[in-house]
Parts: sequence; C-alpha cells; structure tokens
Amino acid sequence: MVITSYGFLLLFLPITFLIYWRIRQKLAFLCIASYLFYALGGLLFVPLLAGLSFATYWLALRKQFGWGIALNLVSLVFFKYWNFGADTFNAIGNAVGITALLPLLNLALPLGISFFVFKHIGYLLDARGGRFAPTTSPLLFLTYSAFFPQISAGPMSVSDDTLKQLANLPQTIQSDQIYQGIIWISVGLVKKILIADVLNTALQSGLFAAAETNTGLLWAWCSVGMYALQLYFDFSSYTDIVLGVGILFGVTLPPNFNNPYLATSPSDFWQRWHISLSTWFRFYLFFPLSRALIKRWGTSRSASAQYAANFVTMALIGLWHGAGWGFVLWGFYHGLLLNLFAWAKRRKWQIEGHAVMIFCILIGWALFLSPDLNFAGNLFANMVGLNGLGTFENLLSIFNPLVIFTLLTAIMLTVFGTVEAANLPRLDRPLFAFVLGLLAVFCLIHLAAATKFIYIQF
Amino acid sequence: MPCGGERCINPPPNLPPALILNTLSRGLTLILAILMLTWAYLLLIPAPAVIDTSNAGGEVYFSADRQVILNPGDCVTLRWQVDGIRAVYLNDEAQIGVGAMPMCITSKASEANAMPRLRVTFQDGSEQTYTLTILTLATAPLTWVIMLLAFLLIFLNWTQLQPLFRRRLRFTGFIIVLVMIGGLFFTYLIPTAETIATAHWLDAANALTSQLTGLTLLAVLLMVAMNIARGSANPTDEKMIALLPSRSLILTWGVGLMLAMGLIAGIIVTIDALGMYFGSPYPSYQLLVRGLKTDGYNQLPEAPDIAIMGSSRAFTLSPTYIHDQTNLTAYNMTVEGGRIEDVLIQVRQMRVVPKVLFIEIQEGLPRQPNDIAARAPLKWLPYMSASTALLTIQKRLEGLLDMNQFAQAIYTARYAPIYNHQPKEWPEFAPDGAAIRPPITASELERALLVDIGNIPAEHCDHIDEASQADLNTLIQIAAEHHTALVFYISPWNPRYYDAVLRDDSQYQQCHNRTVEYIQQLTEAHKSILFLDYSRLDTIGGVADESGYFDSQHLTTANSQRLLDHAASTLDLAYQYAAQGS
Repeated sequence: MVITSYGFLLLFLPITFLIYWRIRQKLAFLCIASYLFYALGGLLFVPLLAGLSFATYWLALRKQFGWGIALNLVSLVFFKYWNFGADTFNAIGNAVGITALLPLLNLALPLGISFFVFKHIGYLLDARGGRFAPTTSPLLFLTYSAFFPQISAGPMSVSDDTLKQLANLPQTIQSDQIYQGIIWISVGLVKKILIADVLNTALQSGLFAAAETNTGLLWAWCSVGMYALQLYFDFSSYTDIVLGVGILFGVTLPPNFNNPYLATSPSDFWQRWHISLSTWFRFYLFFPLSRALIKRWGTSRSASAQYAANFVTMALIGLWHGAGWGFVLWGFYHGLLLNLFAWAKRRKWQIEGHAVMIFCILIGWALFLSPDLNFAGNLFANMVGLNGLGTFENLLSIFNPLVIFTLLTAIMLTVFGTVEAANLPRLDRPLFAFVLGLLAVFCLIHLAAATKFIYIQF
Repeated sequence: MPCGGERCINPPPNLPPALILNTLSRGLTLILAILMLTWAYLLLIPAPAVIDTSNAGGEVYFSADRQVILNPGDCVTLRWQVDGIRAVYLNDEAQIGVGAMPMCITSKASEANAMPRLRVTFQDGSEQTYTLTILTLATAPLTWVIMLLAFLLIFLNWTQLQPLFRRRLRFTGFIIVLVMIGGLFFTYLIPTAETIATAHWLDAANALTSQLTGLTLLAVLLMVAMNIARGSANPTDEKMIALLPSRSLILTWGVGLMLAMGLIAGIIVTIDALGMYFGSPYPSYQLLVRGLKTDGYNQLPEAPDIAIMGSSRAFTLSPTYIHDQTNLTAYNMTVEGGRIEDVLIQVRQMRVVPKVLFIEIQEGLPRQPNDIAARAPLKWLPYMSASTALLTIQKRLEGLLDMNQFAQAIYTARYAPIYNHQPKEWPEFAPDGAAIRPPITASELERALLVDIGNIPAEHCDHIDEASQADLNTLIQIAAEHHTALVFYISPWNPRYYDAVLRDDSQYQQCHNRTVEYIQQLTEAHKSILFLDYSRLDTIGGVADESGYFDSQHLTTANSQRLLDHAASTLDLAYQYAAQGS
C-alpha cells in the first residue's frame, strides 16, 4: 500500500487510528495493521517478511547472531542484487571467453526489503554487542519489524529506541500529538504534490530527456539542480508523512533530514541527509571497521584507516540504494569527498562552505540520477560545457511560470531551513490550521496523479 | 509578571488602547483580505458574456476575455456571434455575424464610447446596443482602498513589524516572497485565466487545473510570507510542538478539511461534468454512449430484429443499410470499448430482446471493467457483476475528490452555457444508433495509423478470459430463453497496421487462433450461434485507404457496408433460425 493513496489516507489511516485508541491490545492490533498494510501492497512477499522477521527473532534469542545476519543478507542479496551480480559476473566471464555463467532471474523486489533487512541486522548487531537483551516477545519483534509507517522506506530507527516505545505504547493520546501528526501529514502532502511532483513533471517532460543528449551546460545543470530539490522534497515529504503517522500511533520515529543543503562539508551533509541510514552505517559499519583497521594497522595510520573506512562505508551506502554502478560510483564519490575534506582539514586548509558543498552535492546527484554509465557520461559532458552553453529558449520552453515559481519556493524554503515539518516555525495559528486543512484537500484531489516516492524503489 | 489575586482586579492602564488597536487591526486585516480576494477574483474570472435570445428570431452572443484590465490602454479580445439578424456593428463598424477582435481600453469607464459596444439590427428593423463594462484596476477605487488599508495596517502594526525590518535576511526573504506572490499572480494566474476563457473545452479545463495548482502555491507563499513577517525566522526558537493549544486547532484544521472536501465533492456531483453521477442541467464533457444507446434502444416504438453490439469498431455499421439488404430492422447498440461484459449488461436491460444479436468481438475476449466503471451510467449498476459494480462505486467515490473532474466541473458551470464549447471528439449518432463521422483526409489517416502502430499493442492471450467465458455462457443462456440467435464477428484490421504489428507477432496469431477455435466450438455446440472471422480486410473486400478506414481499426461507412454485404446472408439465416425457434 502506498501512503499517498486514497485507500491509505481516507480509509486505512482513519480506521486504524480510531480502532487503535479504543482497544487495549494495541501492540497486537499494530502488528495486524502492519501486516495488512504490507499485504495490501501485494500478498506475495508477506511470507518473506514474516518468515525473515520470525527467524531473526528466533536466532537472536538463540544467540545465533551470525546466522541471523547471514540469513538477512542472503535474502537481500538474492532479491535485490542477484541480477546485478550475475550480470557483472557474466560480463567478466564473457571478457575471458566464458558465456552465460549465471542465469538472470525474473525477480520482483519485495517492498521495503532494504529497510526491514537493515532493521533486522541492526537489531542482531545490537543484541550481539550487548546493548540490550533480545526481546522474548515474538509479537513485539514482528510489530517492530513490520511497523507500517516505516516499512516502505524508513526511517530506519535504532532498535532499542523503537522497541522500547512499542513495548510501552501509551494508552491515550494527547490532542497536541494529534495536531502535530495531522499537520505533519498535511505538510508532507503539500510538499509532495505541490513541489516535488511539479518539479518531477518538468524533469520528466523535457529536462531529463534532453540531458541525455548534447543540449549544453545550462540544461544539464538545471536538470541536476531541479533533481536535487525534487529528491529532497520528495523524500522529506515522505518522512514528514511517516513521522506524522507514527505520532498518531504514539510512536516517535527519528527524523531523516535536517536542512541537508545548508551543509558546509560532506560529513555535515551526511549528518543532515537520510540521517537514519547514515547513522545506521556509521554505527554498525564505519565505527567497527575503523576500530578494526586501526587495531590492525596501528594508531600511526589512523588517518588511512579512516579513509579506507569512509570508502567502504560510502560505497556500500551507494550500493544499498540500488543494484547499479551509478549508485556505487555515487557512493565512492562521497567517500572521496569525505576523505578529501578530512585530508584538507588535517592540513588546516579551509575548503568548507555552502557554495562548495552545493557544487559537490550536485555533482553527486548527477551520478545518482543516471540510469547507466552512458547517461552519466553524457550528462557530465554537458555539465562541463563540452557541448556548449545550450540555448536559453529551449530551457524556457520547459520552465513555464508555474515550474519557475515552484522552483523558487523550493529554493526559498531550503535557504530558510523550513523544509522539514519538524523545522517549521509557528503553525499554531488557527488561520494556518484552517489553510493547511484546505491544502490537504487540494493534495487529496491531486492524489490520482501523484507519482511514487523515489525512495520506495530502494 | 505573574498575575493573580488582587493585583489583577484593575487592569493595567494601557490595556484598553492596546485591545482597541488589536481589534481594529484584526478587523482591518479581515476587510483587506476580503477586498484583495475580490480584487483577485475580478482579475482571474473573465467577463460574463452578453447572451440575448429574446428578440424575434435573433440570437446575440457578445463577450470579452477579461472584465478587468490592469492599466488604461490594456487590451481585451472581443468575441461575438449573431444569428437571425439584419446587421451588426462593433463600436460602430459594420461586421460579419461571427468574429473576434482586440480592443484596447484607453478611456475611463464613465466616458461615452469607451467600452466595447455591439449594435445589432434585427430582422424586424428594431435595433439594440449591447455594452460590456471593462474595469481598469489601476484607477479603480478598490485598488486605492486596498493600498490605503495596507499602509494603515503597517502603521498600526509597526511595533510588531519592526523586528522584521531589523533582521536583514528575514526582511530580504519577506520581500522576495512578496515579489514571488506578485509574479505568480501576474505572470501565471492571469494568463492562465485568459487561456481558460478562450481555449477549447479540454485545454481550458486543463488550464483550470493548472490555475488551481497555482492558487494553492499562492496560498503556500502567503503562509510563508506571514510566517516570515510575524513569526520567528529561527525555527529553533519556537518549534511548533511548544505552541499547541491543540483541540481548537484540530477543529479548525478539520473545519478547513471538511469544508473543502464537501465543497469540492458537492460541486463535482452537482455539476457532474463527466455525467458520472446523477446527471445535471449542464452538458456533459464526455458523451455517455452507454446510457445513450441503452435508452435509445428501449425507447424504440418496436423492438428491432437485430441489435448490433460490441465496441466502437462497429460504430458505423448502419441499421438502415442492413434493412436495405435484408429487410430486417436493426439498432446499433455499440459502445466505446464495448466488450462481452457490456453486451451482457445491455441485454439484461433490454425491454425486449431482439431475434438476432450481431456482436463484434476482439481476439482473446478481453475484459475492460475499468471502462465500464468510468463510463457507464449509475443505473447500469444493478445489471453489472459484483466485481465491476464495486469497481464502479470505487471509481465514482474516488471521482468525488478528483482534480480533473473538479476543474471540469468549475469550467462547465462557468463557461459551458456561455461558450457552448462541448468537445466533438466523439461522433454524433443517428436515431438508429449508427455513428456519423465526417470523412478524413489521407494525411489524417496516415497520422492516426502511425499513432496506432506506436501505441496499440497486439493482443496476447494464453487463454480465453475466464470471466468473459462466464459472461458469454450467461449471454448464450439468455439468448436461448428468448430464442435469440447470436452472430459473432471479428472486425477487420487495417492491413497496414496488420502488417506492421500483427502479422509477425506469433503470440497475437496464437491468441487469434484460440479465439476462433473457441467461438467455433460454441457454434458447433449451439445451432443458434454463428461466427464470421473478418479479421483480415480481404475477407470483406474492403479498402485500406481513407475511404475505408479512420485509423487502424475503425471502419468508414464504405467498409462497413462491404462488411454488411458479406454478413447479410448470415444475419438473414440467423433471423430465420430464431424465428423458427420461437
């Protein structure tokens, strides 16, 4: 089920909300609701989610953490990366004269697999590290694993925190929580329908297609800039809605964004962009890996250990987004940026700043948005001006006034740091509440034309 | 300072003036908001036209695309259409009966001859002058009152606004947002309003959708501006969660939500621009062929011998031609996207089932319940299968909150009676149900063919759709009960489309063969069922050029007649069989 569907917003959410706050068995209800939500998106992978969750719970109880992690990783690799791996392997085989080593499978990607598998692995690593004892309640773990607001695209919460909240669900809800929840959902919808989707339409109708050909520098930078804003507004609107839904059910999920385009360095950016994912990787991969490398190489080579850990972590973050070399390159690129800025900092060179960082981020998005290396190559050729400046008239044909003003609004909100619902100031006036109610309806009537959230595909 | 006990018995001396100022400020803000909304409304809503049909035999329609201009000298486009008159003069210059002309409004409204005038002399010699009043906003008192009120409000709220002027970034942001609001209004919303007033129906309704999006963006920008002006620019100062007198806010949010939902759903249902609900006094944007044909059949004084059924591929099969060839009466009940399920629903509604059902079928007998759900009148509901009925109800409920329907409803209510812009994308239908389509040119056929070759894929089927089989069995049962013969046929494809898409597609050929085998099995099992496979054009001796086809599959009258020439004997045979049976 998609959280921006009529079915979810007008039926599933209000009905589950009303029942949830009237019954005592809240956890059981939340578990049923979560599986129903998942099943409504397709029954096929419900057994996978349930089976993997139960196996993780059981193996954690048996302290078979390694097996649990392996099982989850195998599932993820099989469903998400098999074809990518097989394709690469076969290509290498072809290069040395061996054909069709591994078969390509016609596999559908289970909804949210990257998110629930990483939740499981985080849980197993936390339990193994002794940060908390594995839960003995299968119901609690199944609910935690499938919790419907975050199953599709996160945010990935720290196991301990969410598990504690789910284990101690409040029996009543305060009116300020309800208001906060509905306002965050409204704000998320407005951002999705009014900004992200309008920018997406402009991108799809011309900018993307043109960026593939030799259309010049202006066109390419406009495409990438608009994509940067569209991606941000799309994902942050999703997060606002999810956080709002979580609040309505008495669970506070972690924020995913904190004005990422106001970052001044790559490390600052990764503390502001997709916070839950970067926190997961920092906590469960970067720190252990850095420690292990320092232990192995010695403290005198701690800088090298950090550089290596940065590369590995960022490449895997890239790969997490999807089975494609564009994502891997994007990860490597960010690893390179992190190391470059760290290296400069060690030499006390001042290269941090908003403009530099925006430039670096846009270069990264050019890799991220490219479906293949040819596209990326062409886009970069345009971005560096190899195909000239391009014509202004063509650009204006895509940028109708509505797109321009939407773009300006997106830029204004970004510059003022008021994109995330959590960062919005003073929405407590009756006029704002009333207007947000009206705007929510405007978004509802646009839902039929709403596009899918970009991050759901990951 | 905490207030409690005796210290608060007497209010502080400065409270009454502050209270008065605050109340005054709020009142003036409300008045200013109302005036600005009126101002915006005048600019965004084009002028109502003059429509006069009261003079004997004469009809006058006279309009301008705007009723408000910004500055003296701005131009409007005048449109007129007069019928049944002797002479017509626009601003004293003789004109023909229909036309459009720009006029720049240079003088004040009070001056004579400043406004557009249409003088009409009717057939009986009487004369009448129609004048449109165009308002010039820059010189209108409304504009001055708005500006005065705005300055007064700044003066009254000076203390509250001072922090805004002191913080440079905030002030700059505020000014930028104001410029954006103005820019959006003048460079997007007003031109879109002109498009709405002048474009053809669908384009106008689409422009209205964009305008609603623009208006929403304007609302968001106004909220941003208010936040910058009155609130804190630093989000960490006053996070929303800290300022929540929530119950009343939830109520206010809910009121806004319910009000807008009720209003939108109410407008959609009342105006019913797509004819999806209970009908309305306005012309429907889409021609509801399903309702039209079923009603047309049941209103016939006598049930015909043959009912032609199926999809738009059989639109042009002429009952008159069938009568000429076979002496049998017929009625064309074909509907756009018609499938076996449609046929079954139509037959269930027939007052009297005819002797012969001449049914056009497609390879694989595919179902299209979405078409029925989107296009069938609600009165079809009792005759549908449960799943299609549920889908129909779902679509109609979703339609209550649909942007396009909302835009089309507003457009219909506002402009349809004036401009009579009903689309002509569907053919008109003769009383016998056959479609009347104007001929096309060779280049039009070429374009349509290329579009179809690119967009209409070959039908593939592993098996004959089970639900269609079930519908077909029910249909056969009903036909048997009424001693009705069934004649199925596959309509010919344009050979150029066939060669480009179907010929070498083994899966299509397989699907076609399966369908033919399946229907032939039915003909062997039931003597009252006959089948004609006309999927190849040569089977009817048809032609592939523009005189034979409108596109890849829709026959012109000429090819339809060729098809009927071949089918006539079979129809006759089917009728004889049915007549004997009864």
